[in-house]
Amino acid sequence: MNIHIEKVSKKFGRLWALEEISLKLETGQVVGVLGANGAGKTTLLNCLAGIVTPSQGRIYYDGEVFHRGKLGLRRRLMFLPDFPMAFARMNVLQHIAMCIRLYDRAEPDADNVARILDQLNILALAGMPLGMMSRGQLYKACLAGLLVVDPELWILDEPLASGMDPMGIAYFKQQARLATTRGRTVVYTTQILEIAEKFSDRICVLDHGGLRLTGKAGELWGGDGKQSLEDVLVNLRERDVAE
Amino acid sequence: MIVRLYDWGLARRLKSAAKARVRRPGRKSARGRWWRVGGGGGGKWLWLVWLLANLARIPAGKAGSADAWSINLLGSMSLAFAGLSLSRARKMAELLTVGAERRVLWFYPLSQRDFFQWTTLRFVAGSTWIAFASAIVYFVARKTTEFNGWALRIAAPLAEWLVVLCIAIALVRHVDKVPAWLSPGLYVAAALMLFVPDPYGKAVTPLASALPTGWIHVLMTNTRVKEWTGWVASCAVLALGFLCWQLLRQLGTIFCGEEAAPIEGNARPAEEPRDVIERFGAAQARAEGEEASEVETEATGEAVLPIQAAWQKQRLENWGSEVAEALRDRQWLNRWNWEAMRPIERVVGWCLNEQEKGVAQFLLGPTMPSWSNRWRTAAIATAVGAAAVTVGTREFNMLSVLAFGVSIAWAVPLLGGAWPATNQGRISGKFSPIFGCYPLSYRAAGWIMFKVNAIRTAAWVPLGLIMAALNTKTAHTTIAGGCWLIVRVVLLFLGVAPILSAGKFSKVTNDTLNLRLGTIPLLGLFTLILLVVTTLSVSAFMASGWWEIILLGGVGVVSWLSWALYGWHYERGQVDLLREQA
Repeated sequence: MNIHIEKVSKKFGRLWALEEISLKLETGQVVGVLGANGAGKTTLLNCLAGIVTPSQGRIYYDGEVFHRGKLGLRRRLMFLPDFPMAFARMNVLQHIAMCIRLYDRAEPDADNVARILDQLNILALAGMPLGMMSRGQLYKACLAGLLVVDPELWILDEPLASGMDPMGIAYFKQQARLATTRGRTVVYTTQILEIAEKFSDRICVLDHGGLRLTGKAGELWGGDGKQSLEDVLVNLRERDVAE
Repeated sequence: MIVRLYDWGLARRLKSAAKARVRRPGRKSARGRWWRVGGGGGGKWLWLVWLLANLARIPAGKAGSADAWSINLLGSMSLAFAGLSLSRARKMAELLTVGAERRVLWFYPLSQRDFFQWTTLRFVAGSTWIAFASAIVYFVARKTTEFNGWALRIAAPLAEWLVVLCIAIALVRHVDKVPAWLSPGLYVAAALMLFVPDPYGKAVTPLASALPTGWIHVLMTNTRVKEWTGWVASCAVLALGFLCWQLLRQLGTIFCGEEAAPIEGNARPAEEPRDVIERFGAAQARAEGEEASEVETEATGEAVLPIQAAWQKQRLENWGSEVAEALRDRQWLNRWNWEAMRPIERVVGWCLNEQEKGVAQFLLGPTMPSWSNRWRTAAIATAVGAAAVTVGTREFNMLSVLAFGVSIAWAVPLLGGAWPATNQGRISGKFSPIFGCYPLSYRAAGWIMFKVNAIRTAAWVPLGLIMAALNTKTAHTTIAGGCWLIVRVVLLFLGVAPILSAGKFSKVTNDTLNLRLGTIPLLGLFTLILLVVTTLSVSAFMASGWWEIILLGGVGVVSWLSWALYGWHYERGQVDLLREQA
């Protein structure tokens, strides 16, 4: 799914959480959104998912203007917030079934579901109510729903700081990478620069609601191996302070 | 000891041993509850006090020639304060265990003792209004109580307050045993005692005065101790203050994890180590065959961890295989079978297409609807109300009003019904509806809500007609007139139902909070719509002939238009599904 963010701004009260962000994301990419706390990463994801509405500007998916009423477009994306939304009394299988129904997908292969749950190490917990799970387990359960539905656009808020164990994170990265080969686009936020550097095809750096840097992971810092992403962000901040 | 996985014999023995442990008195219920640490029987003697006090009141005789209304007022206060004691106990338990402060303060180096003192101080200070409230009640009922001024103004209210505190503190450790309905039930009984005619008040007075919260006013209204009431009340304050302090001290000791002071007469003599070993030996001897060896290893603390680990692993393996089987049989993918549900749900199923059934299932969350069960409760309530009218004066009385109120509240989705998908959760520190993260169509959801609400309301109509038929004498109308009134009310409710379903979406947005130039005219428009709907609704009941139908139709048209307008506003994303506050 091609994403075109056109001069998107979002204002909360007197605060501009996003300021004229313009961005084009091509299909089949893993896009990492980085930035300091309060930079506007989550707000951008909320805009992409239709949770909040841009105060100005528009978002296009495959050339079509996106808003909350476009159910067809919404069925092509799935958003996992930092604390995923789910019914506390539903179990993992019920949650997955609910996702399949809402996204109008065909009934999945049971072995595929079992494999996903097993890889996420929650197969034994498939009958457990989501409200009784730890944060990491809950995130895994909702991630399982996403993997079964396999939407064209994955939007994930802080999946690497979601409480998932290293195996869960590794599985998520593997699946996200595989998904891009199927033409899926993965947009996620993170604060873990080392992973973002290696995992993302493209990195967007937000600061104070504005898009400060964007580009392919290697291009941002010249790719000469002398600078890391951390150096780039630190330099950016120092330049801001100097200005 | 060798532990083998998949050893079914071992699994069986472990299960038996676990059951035996659970069967030991109090073990299961004691798990993880701090109030069991010092023993759960600390407050039992309070019941004895209650019983003795009530027995002692029997020879004290009647309350004299007190004014009936004042007696009702004092009885009502007794019932209300009894209910308040229960809810305060629940509140105190919550503050000490799962309250917001408790959860936050776990992360700070604050001792249990300090936390307990701080919490109880605030709790006690926060309940001082009870003394003022009871002072007002005693002042109002001063002619009945007939006791001297200073006792009236100070001692009795203080004693009442302390009684409430004592009950609350004594019950903190037992709140899980107190039925949740008891407190609201006492409030309702208090309200009824204040407002209903005398027969009910007279019937409830013994209960009201039997409760500890009623003892003070029983004392005040007792003519035999009239000259001594002030002194008795003052002594009661001292005694209750001491009791309150003791109860707090006891609660604090248990809460803070210290060794509870043995209660006199209930103390267990210190056991020699040899006694302990013998006791364990005797217990194990009672256990059967192989189980005994397992219990022994458990009791002595050896090999417990490996066994537990093996057991847990085996359980997980079994669970995993069960899940795999459940996955393969694909029942988890099945949609709800509306045909197999109860009548109202079945009718709803007939009115929804497959797509809508899926959306309805999402809107209703994990639990199947119980509309028919609610209707049954409403029918029972209606029957009770009808009996109260028929047996009584053939006019509406308080009991029938209450019963019919229950009937309406249970069967009619007055506020648009319960739709768990519209509940809120947290996204990055803010609140958002559950449906916000899933593709849910406003129009489809609204239409489903309307259909369900219409069917539930239609199902209630026969009950409403029974009420109307019984209401004829009170309303000075005919049966047909009463039934027509119910039909109009139902039509009006169906007319405003679209607005109620729009409200289900609106309640989880920031549409009324995010005031900006674009939203202020819209809010004005919605206020106008509300005024128009209200005016049309009132007019529909004042008009006659065809105008009634026309005006009710007008309500429906305006309501549907406003629903569609809000939908346009919502779907175009003019509102955020994100709120700062819940």
